[in-house]
Amino acid sequence: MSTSNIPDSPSISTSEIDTERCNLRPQRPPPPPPVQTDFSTSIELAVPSAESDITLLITDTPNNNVEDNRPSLLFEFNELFDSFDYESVRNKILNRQMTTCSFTTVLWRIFLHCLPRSSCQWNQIIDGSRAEYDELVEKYLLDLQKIRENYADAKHLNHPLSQEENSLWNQYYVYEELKENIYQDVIRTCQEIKFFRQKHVLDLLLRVLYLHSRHHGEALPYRQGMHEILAVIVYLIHNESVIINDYPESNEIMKKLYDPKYLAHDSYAIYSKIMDHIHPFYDFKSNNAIARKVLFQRLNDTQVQMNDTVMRVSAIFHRLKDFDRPLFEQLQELDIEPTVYGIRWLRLLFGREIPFSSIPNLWTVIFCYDECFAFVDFFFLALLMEIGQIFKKHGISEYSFCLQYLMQSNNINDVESVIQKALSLEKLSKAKESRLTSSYSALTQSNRYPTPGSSKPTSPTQNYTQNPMIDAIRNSTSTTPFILLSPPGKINSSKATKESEMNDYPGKEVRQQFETNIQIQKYCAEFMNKFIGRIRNRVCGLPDSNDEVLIQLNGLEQIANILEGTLTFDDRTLEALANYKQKEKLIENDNPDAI
Amino acid sequence: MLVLVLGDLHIPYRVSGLPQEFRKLLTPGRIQHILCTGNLCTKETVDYLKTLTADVHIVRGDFDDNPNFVDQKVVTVGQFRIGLCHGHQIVPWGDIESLSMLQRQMDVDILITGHTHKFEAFERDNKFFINPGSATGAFNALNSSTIPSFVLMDIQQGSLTLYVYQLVNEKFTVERLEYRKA
Repeated sequence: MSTSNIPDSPSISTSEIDTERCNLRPQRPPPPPPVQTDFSTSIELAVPSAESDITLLITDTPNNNVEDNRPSLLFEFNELFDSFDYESVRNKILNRQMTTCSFTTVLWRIFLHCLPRSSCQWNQIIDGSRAEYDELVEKYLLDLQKIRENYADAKHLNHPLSQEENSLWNQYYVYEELKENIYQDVIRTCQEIKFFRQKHVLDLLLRVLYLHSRHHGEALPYRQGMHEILAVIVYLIHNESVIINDYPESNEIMKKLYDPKYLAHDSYAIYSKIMDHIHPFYDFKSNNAIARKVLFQRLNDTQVQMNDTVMRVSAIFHRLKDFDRPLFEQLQELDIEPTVYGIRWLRLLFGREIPFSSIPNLWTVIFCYDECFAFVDFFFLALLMEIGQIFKKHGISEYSFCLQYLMQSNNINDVESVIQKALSLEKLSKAKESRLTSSYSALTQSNRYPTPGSSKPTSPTQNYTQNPMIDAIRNSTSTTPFILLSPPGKINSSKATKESEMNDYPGKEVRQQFETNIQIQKYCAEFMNKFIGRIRNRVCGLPDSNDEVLIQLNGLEQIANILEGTLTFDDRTLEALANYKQKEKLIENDNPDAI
Repeated sequence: MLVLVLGDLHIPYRVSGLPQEFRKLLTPGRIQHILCTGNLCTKETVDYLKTLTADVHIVRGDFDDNPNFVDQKVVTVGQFRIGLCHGHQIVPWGDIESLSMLQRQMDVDILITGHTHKFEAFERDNKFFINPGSATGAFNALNSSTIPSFVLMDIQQGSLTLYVYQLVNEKFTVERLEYRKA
C-alpha cells in the first residue's frame, strides 16, 4: 500500500534502506516505557561507539525483530506530538535522555519554526509551505519551452542571443551558469552513500540549492559547503519517510509529514531556516569597520582577513582559555590560526568532523538549544578539547601533525561524549555568567553607576549573536581572576568545587572588586571605541577632513584598545608615552598661547 | 540546440570586420554549432568563429584561401539533415529550381547556401532553404549595398525556429520564422 502511495520514490531495495537507516542512527536511547524501536539493527553499531553512554547499556535487549518495532512508531509519534511540550522535550534532549527519535526531522521543523508546536495546525502550515516552494519553482525555474512561446510578448528582447538584462533568454543563460557551479559541488556530495549517486537525488539537490540561491539573490548566494548541509537534511527526511511509509499503521498526519512527493519541498523549508542562521559563516566580505581596527593591532594579526565569521571563530577560540588553558597555549604557541579549521567547522555545522550518521543527533541539540545556534560554540570547544586529548594521548606537539589532526575529517567517533562534554561546558559557563551578572548588577545598583544597557538581564546566549566579540571578552574576563589565582590544572575541575573554593577564599571581596573593575574597564573601552568610530566617520565625512583630529582620535583609540586588552600595556607603550610627552612639549613651545 | 548560420564575410578584402552590434551578440557558451557558407576569407576569421564554439563547419567559397575546405557538407542536427554549400557553383546564382535540384541531390531537409549576399528563407516541397546573407554586409558582384545579416537556428527534435538578425540603419532587428518537419 505504501509503495503505491509513492510513485516517484527512489527504487531502493528494502535491505539497502535498512542498512542506511541504521547507519544514520547508531545510538538508540533507553526505550520510553513500551516503545521498542528498531534496536535490532542499531545496537551492534551503537555499542562500540558509545562506551561512556551509560544509558545505552539499558537498551541491551536484543530480542527484537522487525515486527516489534512497528507498533512503536505510532506510539512514539502520538506521545511526542499529541500535546507537544517544548520545554520537556528540550530538557530531555539536553539531558541526553532522548538521543534518538524516529521523527527527528519533525522535531527540527518545530525547533526551527517551520511547524508550530501544536499539531492541530500542521496540515494547514505544511500545505502553505509546500505551496510556497511550488511558487518558487514557478517563478525561478526557467523552462526553455516557455521562453520560446513567450516570444510574442517582447519581440526585441526575447531572442537567444539577447544580452538585455530582463530578457528571459539571457536570464536563462546566466542562471545556467549558476546551476553549473552548483552541480559541480552536488555531484561530489557524499559519494560514498549510494543514495547520493542517483540522478534524481542530484537533481533534487541542485534544484533546491538553485531555488534558494535565486530566491535570496545577492544577499545569500550559493557557496560551496551549503550542499552538504542540504544533503544531510534530504537524506534524513528520505530515510524517515521510507520507514514511515512502510509502516502500515501510520496515521494521516504522519503520512502527510513524510509524503515522498514533497521531499524537495520539506527539505527546502528546513534548509532555508538553517541557512537563515548560518549564512553569516559563508560571508566572504571583510568588515570595513573592523578592518580599520586592524591598523592598530600587531602585524601578524592583520594577515587574516577580518569579518564576522573570523571574529566569531577567534572569539570562540579565546574562550578555550577558560576551559583548557594548556591546549590554548599550545595552539597559540604553534601559531595555528583557529580560522584554518574553525570556519569549516562552522560552515558545515561540523558535518565533516563527525561521522555522517551522527550529524542528525548533534544538529538536534544545536537546533533545540536556542534560536541562534549558540550551542555551536560549546560543541566547537568540546571538539577542540577532544582533539586536544588525542594530541596528549599520542604526544603530538609538532605543527604539521597538530594541523593534520585538526583538519582531518571524521576523526571523532564518540560524538555522544563530545556532545555531553559540550553540554557540561555550557553549564559551567552559564554558572559563571550568572554569578558575574549578579555581582555586577548589584554593584551598579548600589553605586548608581550610569551604565545604559548593563542593567538589562540578557542571557549570555542572546547577547552572543549581537556581538560575539564582546561576549567573548566578558566571558574571558569573568574567569581571568580564577586563572590568576588558581593553578591551570584546576580550571577543568567541576563547578561545585570551584564555587566552594571561591566562597572559602579569604580575599573574596577584593576579587569581586577586581572583577567588576575589569568589567567596567571593558565596558568603557567598548563604548569608547564605538564613540570614536562615530566621531571618525563624521570627521571623514566633512568636506575638508582635519588630519590632526584624526591622529588624536587614533591616539584615543589606542588607549581604548589598551583598556580593552587587545593592545598590551608593555614597554613599548611606555616608550610611546615618553615620546608623546616630548612632542607635547614641542607643541607647547611652538605656540605658547595654546592651552 | 542553437546553430549559428552565417557566411560571406569577406574579411579583410571587402570589409574590415563584423559589425559591433553583431559582435556583442555573439558570445561564447550559447551557440552549439556554427554552419558557415564560406568566403570568410582568412584564417583569422575562422579562429574567431572557433572562439564561439568548438564545432564549426565551413564549406569553401570562391574567395577562401584554405584549399582544404570541402565544396559541400551534410550535417545532422536533431532530426534534420542539413546541407551546406557556398552557392557560387549553382547557376543561375540563387535560382530556386537549381537550389531545389541540389537539395534533391544532397537529400537534405534544409539546404543552406550563400553567395548572393541577400537573406532568404523559404519552404518548397516541404524542404527548407536558407540563405543567411552576408554577416558583414560586404558588397557582391551584382549589388553594392548589402544589409548585414545572419541566421540563428533553434532546433528541437522535429521543429526548427529561425531567428533572423539584420542590421538596418545601425540597429539590429530580429525576425522569427518557424518550420516543422513533415
